[in-house]
Amino acid sequence: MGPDHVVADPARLLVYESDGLTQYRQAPLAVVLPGTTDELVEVVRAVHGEGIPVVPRGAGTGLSGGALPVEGSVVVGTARLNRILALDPENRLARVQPGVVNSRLGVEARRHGLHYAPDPSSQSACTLGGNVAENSGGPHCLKYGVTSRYISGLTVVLGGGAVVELGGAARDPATGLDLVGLFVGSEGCFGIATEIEVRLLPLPGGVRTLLGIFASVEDAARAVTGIVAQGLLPAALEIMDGASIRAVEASVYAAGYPTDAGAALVVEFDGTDAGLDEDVARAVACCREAGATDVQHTDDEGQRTRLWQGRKKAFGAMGRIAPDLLVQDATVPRTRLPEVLEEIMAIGARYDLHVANVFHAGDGNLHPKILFDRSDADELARVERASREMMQVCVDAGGTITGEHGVGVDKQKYMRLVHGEEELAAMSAVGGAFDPRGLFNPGKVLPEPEPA
Amino acid sequence: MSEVGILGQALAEHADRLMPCVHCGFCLPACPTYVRLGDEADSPRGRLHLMGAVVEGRLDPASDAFRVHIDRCLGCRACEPVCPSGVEYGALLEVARDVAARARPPALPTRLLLRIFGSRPGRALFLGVGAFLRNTGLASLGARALPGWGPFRSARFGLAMLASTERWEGLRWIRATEGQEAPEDPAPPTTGPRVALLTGCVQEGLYDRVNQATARVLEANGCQVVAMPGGGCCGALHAHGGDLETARRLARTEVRRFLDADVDHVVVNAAGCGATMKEYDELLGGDPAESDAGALARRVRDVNELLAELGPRTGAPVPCRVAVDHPCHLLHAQGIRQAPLAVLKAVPGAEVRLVEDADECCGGAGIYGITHPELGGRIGADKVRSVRATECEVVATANPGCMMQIGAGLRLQGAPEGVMHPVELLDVSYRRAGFYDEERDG
Amino acid sequence: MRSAPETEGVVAPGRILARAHRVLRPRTPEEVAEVLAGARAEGLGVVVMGGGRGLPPLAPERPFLVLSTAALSGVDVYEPGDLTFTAGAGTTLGDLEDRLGTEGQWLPLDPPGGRERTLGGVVASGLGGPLQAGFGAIRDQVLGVTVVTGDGRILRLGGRVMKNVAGFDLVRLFVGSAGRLGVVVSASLRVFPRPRARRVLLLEGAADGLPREELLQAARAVSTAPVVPAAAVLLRRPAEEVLVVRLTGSEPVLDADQARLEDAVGHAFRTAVHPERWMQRMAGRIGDDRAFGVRQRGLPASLPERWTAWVTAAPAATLHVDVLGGLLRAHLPPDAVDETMLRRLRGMARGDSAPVLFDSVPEGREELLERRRWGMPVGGAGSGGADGTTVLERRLQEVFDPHGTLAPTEYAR
Repeated sequence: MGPDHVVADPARLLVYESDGLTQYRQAPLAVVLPGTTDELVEVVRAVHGEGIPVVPRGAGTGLSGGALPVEGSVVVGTARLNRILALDPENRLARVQPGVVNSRLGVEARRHGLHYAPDPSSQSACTLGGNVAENSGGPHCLKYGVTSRYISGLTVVLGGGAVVELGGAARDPATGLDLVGLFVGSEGCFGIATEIEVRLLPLPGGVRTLLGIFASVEDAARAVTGIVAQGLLPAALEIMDGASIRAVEASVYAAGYPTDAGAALVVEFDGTDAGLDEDVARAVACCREAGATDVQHTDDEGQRTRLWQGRKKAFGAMGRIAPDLLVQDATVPRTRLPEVLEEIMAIGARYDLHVANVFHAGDGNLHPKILFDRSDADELARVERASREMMQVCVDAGGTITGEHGVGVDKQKYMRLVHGEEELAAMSAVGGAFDPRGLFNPGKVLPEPEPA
Repeated sequence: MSEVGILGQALAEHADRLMPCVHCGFCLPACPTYVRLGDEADSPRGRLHLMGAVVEGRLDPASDAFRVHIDRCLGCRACEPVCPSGVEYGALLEVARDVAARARPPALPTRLLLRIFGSRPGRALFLGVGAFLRNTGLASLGARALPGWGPFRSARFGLAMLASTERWEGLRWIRATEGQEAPEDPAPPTTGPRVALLTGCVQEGLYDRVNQATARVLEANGCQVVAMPGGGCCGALHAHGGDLETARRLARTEVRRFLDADVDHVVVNAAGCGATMKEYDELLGGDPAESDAGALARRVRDVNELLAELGPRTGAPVPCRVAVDHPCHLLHAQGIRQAPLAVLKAVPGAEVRLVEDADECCGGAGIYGITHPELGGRIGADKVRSVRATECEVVATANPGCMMQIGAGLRLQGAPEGVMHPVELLDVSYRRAGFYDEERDG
Repeated sequence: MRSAPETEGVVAPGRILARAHRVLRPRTPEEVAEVLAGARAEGLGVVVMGGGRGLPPLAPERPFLVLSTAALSGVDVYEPGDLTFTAGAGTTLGDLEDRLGTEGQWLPLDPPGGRERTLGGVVASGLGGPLQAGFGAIRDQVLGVTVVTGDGRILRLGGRVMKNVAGFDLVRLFVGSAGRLGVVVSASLRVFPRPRARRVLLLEGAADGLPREELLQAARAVSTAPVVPAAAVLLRRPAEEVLVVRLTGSEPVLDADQARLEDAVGHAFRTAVHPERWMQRMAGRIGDDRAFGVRQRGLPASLPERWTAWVTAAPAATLHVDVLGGLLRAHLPPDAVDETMLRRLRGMARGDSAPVLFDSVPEGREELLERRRWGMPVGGAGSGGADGTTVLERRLQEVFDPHGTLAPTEYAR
C-alpha cells in the first residue's frame, strides 16, 4: 500500500476527527485506506496484532459518531473498496464491496430494471458498508423495511483478521443462527464486512407523490392516521414542520413549499400503476378531511425528485440557520406521534431552544433537529438536558432512542432508558463472541457498566 | 501575532461562510479527487475542515497537509450544487489558496505561469511561443517523441495540450447528403443586444478561431459586436491559482474597460473566465471598485447562455455525431446545463450525445495535468474513455482548458476525434448556410 | 414444581412425546425459567414445542422433557393504528388471523402447516412460506421478542416500533434459532392492511397442459417479471404439475399484474375457482408422520435444473418449490425411501448445492436417518452451519445456554 493510503501526519488526520456528528472530535493514530479486501484483512491482522483497536469508516456520514475515531485507534476506511463485484438480475442479487455508495448501486441496478430499496437520506454519499453497520433506514422503510431485509450474505473480517462467510442467498435460512441479521446494525463493533450480498427488487411500475400542506403538524399527523386507517400502504409518509420547510426553501434545494405552512406531508405510493390513482384519491381525501390547505400530486419524475430533495436535504439545509445542529433520532408507535411531538416542542420551548422537526410519520421515526451555538456553554448544556427529556418522552410512549442513526457514542448515555442490565450484558456478551479482544470500535454502542 | 495567526486571520474573515458546512459528507462522491484517492483530506468536506482548523489555529497554513490538499483540488466546484447548505466552496478555495501561497510559495510551474500571465507582455510572449510550437508542428512532434514517464510526463502533456489547440479539420470531409438541405431561413434578426467579447488570454493566443467564430455567430443572430482593442486577462487563472492580489488588479482593469464600452452584455466563450467575471463583485469585495464590479458582473453572459436566450438561428446541416461534455465552470459555477445543447440544436444533422460522466471534471483545471501529472492523468484518462464510448466524431465543450485537456488526452492516444467549442460547430453550420458575407470572412 | 404445568391437549409427533420424561406447560416467563432450571437440576435436556408441527424429525438421544408453549398464548397488545401486535408464543396463526381480520389487517405469513402453527414456533423456526417473496421473511416482521435464555434469564429484546437500532439486533438472533439459545415466550410483529382483493392464477403442465420445459420456463419468467407477485410456487404430484401464482391488491391492480405476468410468461393463466384451497397447498405441509419430508435451498435461477433432477431421482415425490425464494420441499411416500433413494438424495447435494435436509420422517423409519447412514445433517436447528460460522455459533450458544440445557436434537450441538 502506497504512502497516500496510509495517513499518519497529524495534520492530515484532522479531517478524520469527526463523522457526520461534529459534537465529538478525536483524531486517530493513523488512517489506512486499503484498496483490496486482501489488503483490508492484512491491515486488520497487523493492527490487531499490535493490540491496537480498529475503527471502520465508510463515508463518515453517520450521525451518531459510529465512525468517530477512538483514542489510539487506527481508522480503516473503505472508500477505495468501491467495486460492484457482481450484479445477477436472474436471481436479483448483487455482490458489492463495502465502499460502494448506496445510490451508485441503485444506478447500476436500474440498468436491469431493478433497484436497491433502502434509501437513507444520505444515500448519495453513504456507503453500503456503513448501511450494513448501522442497519440504515430511510423514508421508504414503511413499505420496504430497513437494510437488514435486503442483506442476504456477508463476508466479514473478524478480530485478528479471520475471514468468515455469513449466510448467503443460496443457504437455507433455518439451518443456523441468523448471523447476517445479527451482524447488520452491529455498528462496526463485530468486524468489517468485506463483501456484501444484497437483494434487489424490480423497479415499481409507477410512482405517485402527493404533497399536502397543513396549518399544523397535528393536522398532518391526523391525515396520516386517516391514510393508515384506510388500509393504504404508502411507500413513504413524511412530515416536515414549518421550521424545516423554511430552512429547505432558503437552500438550493427549494422545492416550492409555501413558507408560511405549519407542516408539509409527503405521501408516496408505488407499485402497479393501475392502482395508484385510486390510492392517491383516497389519500387526498384523507388530507382534505384533516384540513389540508393545499394538496397537489404528481407522477412526473422531475417534480417528484424535487419534492424529495427538499425532504432529503433538510439536514444540510439547517446548516444555514445556526452554527451547530443536533439531529435527534427516536421512534415511537405511530399512533403516539401527535402527543409526543407536542411534548418535544414543549421541551424545546422550556429550554429556549430552536427545534425543527422532520420525520418518517409512517413508521413513527422522529428527527427533531435542535439548532444551537456550541460556543454558548449554557445553550450547549440546555441542548443536552432537552435531548435527554425528549428521549425519555419517546421511551415512555413505548418507543426507542434511535430508529436509524444508531447508538454510536451519542446515544450510549440513553441506552439504559430502553434496556435493562440483563439485556445490556447479553449484548456485550454477543459482541464478545465476535470480537473477544474488543478491538473493533471499542467503547461504542454499549454504555459503561454501572458502578457496582 | 505570528505568521500563522495573520494568515489564519485572512481565512477567519470568511468563517461565516465555513459555518454552514454541517459535515454531512454529501459532497464526497461528487469530488473527482476523493472518488479516486479515497482520502477525505482530498474531499471538499475535508478541505473545508482543514480551513476550519487553520481558522481555529490548530493547523499551520504552511503545513504540507494544508498545501497539498488545497492544491490538489481541481476547483471544479462539483461539490457546490450537491451541498444542501449552500457552502460557497469555490470562493473559500480561492481564499485558502491565497493563504497557502502566502504561507509557502506554490510549486514552480504554478508560480511561473501566474507570473507570466500577470503581465501583458508575458502572456503575449508565452502564448506566442506556444502558437509557434503548435504552428510549426514542433509541439505535436514533441508530444509524440517524449516518453510518458518521470520528468518527461508533464512536458509531454503540455506539448500535447498545445498541439491539440490547432483547428480540427475533420468536419471538412463531412458533407450533407441528398435530402439534407438547409431549412428555409427567416430574415436574419436585426436588432439584437450590443455586446462586447472578452477575447481573453489563452483564447486570444491559441483559440483565436473560437473568438472569430463567436463574433460571427453573434452577429448572425443580430448582435451588435463592439470591437474591444487589446484583450486583457480576466484574472481567473490567478483567482483559481491562489494569487488574489494579481487577480484583483486584472479584474479592476477589465471592469473599467468593459464598463467604458457601454454594452448590454459582455460575452465570454471561456467558462472559467465567465465564472470569475460573474463573481467580480465577490473578488473585489471591499474594494472601491466593488459596485462597478457588481454592475459588470450582472452583464456577463456565457456565449451559449446568450445564444440560448436569443434562440439561435438554425444553420445548414452538418451531419455528425457530437459528444457534449459540460465544463465545470459552466455547469457547477454558472449553473448552465442546457444552453450548449440549445446551441447545438441549431445545427441540423448534428446528433448530440451527452458524455456519460459529463457532469464530472475532465481534469483540465488550468494546468492540473502538468502540476499533478499522475492524478490529472487518471482523471483525464477516465474522461477520454467516456468521450470515446459515445462513438462520436467530435467533442464539444465550451472552455479552452477542457478543450486542451480532452484534446491532449485524445491526441496522446492517437484517437481521431476532434475537439470544438459548440459555437465553432454552429459557425460551420452558418457558413454552409451562407449566412456570412464571404468577402469579409474570406 | 408448584406451577405444575399440565400436559393435556398437546399435539405433537408421538415419538417425541412418547420419549419425553414429561411435558410441561408454563404460563409465564418466570415459569419457563423454572422449568429450565428444574431440567438442568435433573440433568434433562429441554425440547421446546409449540403446535408440534415444526419439531425436528428426530428426538434427542439424551433424556429430555418437553416445554410446551401452549399456555403462553393470547394477544397482549394490538394497536391497529400502529400496525403492530404483541402475542404469546403459544398463540396460533389461526387465532391471530381471526383477530387481525376484525380490523382489516393480516399477518402475511404462510409457513407450512398453516393456521395450526404457533407464533412462537414460526418465529423460532424462522421458516416462512412463499408469501415471503411479497412481504418479507419472518425475521423482517418481528419487531421484538421476550425470551428466556437457556440459563434462565428473561430478556426483553427489541420493541414494538418499526425501526429500532438501539443496540445489537438480538431479536434477529433469536428468530430462527430453533430453541437453541432460549425459549421465545412472546413476540411483537408488524402487520399489514389486508389486501382489498386477491387472485390465484394457475398454469398447468403435465398431461393436459404445457410440456414440462415450457412450464419451467414460465416459472422462471414469473421470478424475473417486472411485477413481484405475493407468492408463486411450482407444485407437483405424480401426474400433475402446476404453477400457482398469488396476487394481492385492488381489482385493477390484479388485472394489470396478471396482464404483465402473462406478458412475461407468454401464456394465459387460468384463475383458480377455489383460491383458498390453492393457498393452502401453496403453504405446503410439515410435521407429517406419514411421509418423508425433505427440503433443499437453491437460487431461483437454478429451478429448472433442480426440478428436473428431483423428478428424475424421485418420481414418486410430491414437490413444492418457492419460485421466487428458491426453497424446494419434497414429500416421499415411506416405501419410496430406501438406501438407494438415500444415495440419490445425497447426490442431489453435491458440488455447490445446498444440503438436503429432513423435516419429517414416518413413524418407525427413524433409523434411516442415523447420521452414519445418512451422512448429512438432518433438518432443524444447527444442521447446516458453514465451517467458518461454527465457532461463532458455539460461542453464542455458550452465551445464552452455557449449561447446554436446551436440546432440540442431538445433531444440533
